[in-house]
Amino acid sequence: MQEKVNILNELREAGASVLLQADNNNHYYLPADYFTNLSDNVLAYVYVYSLPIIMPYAVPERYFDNLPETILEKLSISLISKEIPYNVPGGYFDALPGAILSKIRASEVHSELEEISPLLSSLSKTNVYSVPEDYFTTTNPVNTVNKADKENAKVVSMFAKNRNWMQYAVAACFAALLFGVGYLYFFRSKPIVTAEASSADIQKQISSLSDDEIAGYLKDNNNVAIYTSAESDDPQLQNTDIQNLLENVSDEEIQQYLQDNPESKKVGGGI
Amino acid sequence: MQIEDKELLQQFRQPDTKERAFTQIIKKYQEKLYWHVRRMVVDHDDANDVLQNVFIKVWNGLENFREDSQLYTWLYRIATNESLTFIEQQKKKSAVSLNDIETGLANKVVADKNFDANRLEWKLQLAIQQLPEKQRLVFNLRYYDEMPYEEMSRVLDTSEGALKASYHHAVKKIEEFIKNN
Repeated sequence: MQEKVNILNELREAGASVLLQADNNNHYYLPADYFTNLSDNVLAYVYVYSLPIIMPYAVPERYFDNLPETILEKLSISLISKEIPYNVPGGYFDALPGAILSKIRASEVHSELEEISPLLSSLSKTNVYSVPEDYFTTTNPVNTVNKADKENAKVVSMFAKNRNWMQYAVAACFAALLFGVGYLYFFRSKPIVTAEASSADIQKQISSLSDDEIAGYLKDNNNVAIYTSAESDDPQLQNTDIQNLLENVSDEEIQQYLQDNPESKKVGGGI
Repeated sequence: MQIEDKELLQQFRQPDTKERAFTQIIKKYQEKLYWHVRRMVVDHDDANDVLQNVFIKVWNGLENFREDSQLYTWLYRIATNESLTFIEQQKKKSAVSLNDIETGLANKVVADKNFDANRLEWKLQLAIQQLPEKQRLVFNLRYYDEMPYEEMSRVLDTSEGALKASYHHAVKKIEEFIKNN
């Protein structure tokens, strides 16, 4: 108490009026029972720090010497590309479905054969035939192509002969026509007329001839057969013409003529 | 159709890539077609002639190939027909009966320089040559090429049921031949 009064008097003499008026209660937080446990806590700290620092765990030899390299290696592995370094044959995956299907088919065939003939299924499918060396590597497709072109050139159509024959026939007809036209033009000097028109013309001309002139001609040309149609080879027509010609001739006259001219019997349809 | 075959066909139809595409087609299918033909005609020189004719027909006909079937099926069909045509021509040239032709083919098997009558594989070949042509075809396509009946039906233009029956008979005949020889 006396001490407190002395301190207050000192403050008054020092002129610290603010301090004299201030509230000197402690406003800081203090855990409960802090001072009660303080001594024990201090002694515990003293004990712990007085212990010797000995690490009971073992560490591999040269662990710390190799640690940096180990850590760097781990870092470098994590940086490596995840690309798989193994090679896959070209086209492998494209051919894979076919290869699998082939295996399935082979299995089906084997099972089927086993069922039908166990003997045959037990035989190996060894190829007994030989092939000239390098046959498949030296087969030249270009030669096959050239042979194909030659084969194409040599191929003769089944209708080629007929086509040629047709061409010749057409050419022959055309030549005959030209000859006929030329003959008529140069030797007859008359325009080309139809068969009927020429027949009518001939008849007209003959009708203008006298009987004596006709008889004289026939006498000089016994083997000449006269037809009303010069171009007709039709036997039926010839017979018709002859009948027409002989319409006004009696049978006796015909018989007499044939007796006098035996050669005319040989001529088909002559007078 | 496989993508590769489609591309080959497209290239074949272009003038500047036609030969290259044709070469690729030959290289891709030559061995399969060769052995298919060889098993029918036996002799290598005959097989070579037939194979050349096959690819000549391919060259001439591929432009108009309608792609309504696999290229592989179409090629096999041509090879089959060419083989049968060749055998038919051989028959006419020698003026012998069908049975004698098959005996002739068996003789070609025996005439092979590697022929060994004691080996089962050669007996199998002899047995195969005893079969009628069509049955031989069915057997070869199924046994060696492991062709599904559905595909075989398109190659040979025969029903699947008939093909199965034909194969069954062929196997039984071959088994009997091997047992008796």
